[in-house]
Amino acid sequence: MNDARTIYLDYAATTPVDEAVAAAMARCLGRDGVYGNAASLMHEPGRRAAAAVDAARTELAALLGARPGELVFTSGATEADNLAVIGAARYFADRGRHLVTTRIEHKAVLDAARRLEREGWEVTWLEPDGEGRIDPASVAAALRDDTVLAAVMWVNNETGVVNDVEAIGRLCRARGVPFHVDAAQAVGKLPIDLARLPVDFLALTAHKFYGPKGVGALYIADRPGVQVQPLLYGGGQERGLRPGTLPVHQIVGLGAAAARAREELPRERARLAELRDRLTAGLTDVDGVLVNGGGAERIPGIVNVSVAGVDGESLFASLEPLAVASGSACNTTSGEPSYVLRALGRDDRLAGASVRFSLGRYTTADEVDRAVGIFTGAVGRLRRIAAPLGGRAA
Amino acid sequence: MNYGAEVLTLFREASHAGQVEGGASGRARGRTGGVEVVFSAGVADGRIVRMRYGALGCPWVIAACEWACRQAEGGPVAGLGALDAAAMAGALAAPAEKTGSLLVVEDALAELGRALAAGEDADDRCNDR
Repeated sequence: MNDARTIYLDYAATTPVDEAVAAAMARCLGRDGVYGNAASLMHEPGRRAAAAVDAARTELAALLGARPGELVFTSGATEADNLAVIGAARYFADRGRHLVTTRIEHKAVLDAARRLEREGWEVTWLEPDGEGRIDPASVAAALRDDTVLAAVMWVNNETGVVNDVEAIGRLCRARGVPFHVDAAQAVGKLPIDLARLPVDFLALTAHKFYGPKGVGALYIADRPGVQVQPLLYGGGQERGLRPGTLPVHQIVGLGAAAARAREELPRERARLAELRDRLTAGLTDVDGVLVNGGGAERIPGIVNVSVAGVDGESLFASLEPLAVASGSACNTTSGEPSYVLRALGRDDRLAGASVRFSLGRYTTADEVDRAVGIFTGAVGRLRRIAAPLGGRAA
Repeated sequence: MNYGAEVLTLFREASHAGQVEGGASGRARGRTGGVEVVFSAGVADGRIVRMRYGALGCPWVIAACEWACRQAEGGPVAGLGALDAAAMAGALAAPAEKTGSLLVVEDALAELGRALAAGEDADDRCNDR
């Protein structure tokens, strides 16, 4: 049971599983559940499992504007990103050995691209502008005749800044370069219509939109020449691209979460935008608080601020009972300041004293107001402790 | 980061944060600028009657400053020498990676000790007249 005082504002790291999603998953478990192997179509339990998987695939496709056959289930966005980046690079290796990606990608893409570099591929690393956006023109300028993939995230997980993937995709398509989008932070938060977008691969994970952890998907556009080489071998599931017995209850959870997200998206987007503006106004009332990516289009749920004149670790130790992230939750084990914020031009101290607030379906205005109060009090206290040093530390 | 109960208590209370107006002071800064500490103290009859600090640093640094003030008040100026990084690390159960930060606190305390000693010498010289 969570501490009742906790104010959970870390929805970009993960979300609680929606009750309806959990119920749908629970119905799959146990002797009366959907326990068959979805590949065992010769008997009823297997066919029931396959039908449940098909239904989930259809729900997810509807959320994305994709066709069900364009989706490959994975263990999450990290695997989907790896399958797209490494799988596409290897599939197209005869065509060339050059990739284009950005410094602000999630490590699932960064580390996959670095792996390819070690294997002999050349990678062009694009820098963001001062607001954290990737300029489509910079992508176009980096494309070469031997480029086999461009990978640009849709929404940055630390700042919430939205990249113009439509423009980037058009430029890639004009040059015949497959385009991969890490959409872990976009799915369920932005309207997505892959039937219209020039995107070839798109990675997502269920746990960012109230589904279970451990399941995600890679969209692979049904277009000539768009393909990946599998990373795993051992069965024909998912068209041979991701073999292994399908985790039916997980996939059912992903489908149920997708259905809920489609219902909730328009209303929730507007509600979160209001809460985000309320939070931003409260946080920036404090002197020396900078909104990272504040001049760019951002998804409603994320506000990332850097705080001058305080130590980041002390700030975090002072924010209880707020559950917030320092930079990116995926990066906190390293203890290093966020590479994304440094790419935005924040120095190490400012990047280290950055807080990501991410709002979600269960966030209330009262929680936002309390969060502002706790943040304001913590910053003020730490600045009073530092005051005898004279002035505000840079 | 998991902090021990002692560190959290000292960090949260931080009751000695501040400045002794007109007192001697000692200051130190880490090489990367991530930690900065200043101590100030007032002395009467060779004993520290009031000691305060300002600090920019992690909870271990703030807790160490608070601990040092509590240890030093009421004691002789010469007692500051015993409040080194090893003593702080022992009292706070600090991990090895915090040694660098605690050395900054130690440097500021040493600087304060020198300033207080110099002040006492000056007082002694004044008394000789």
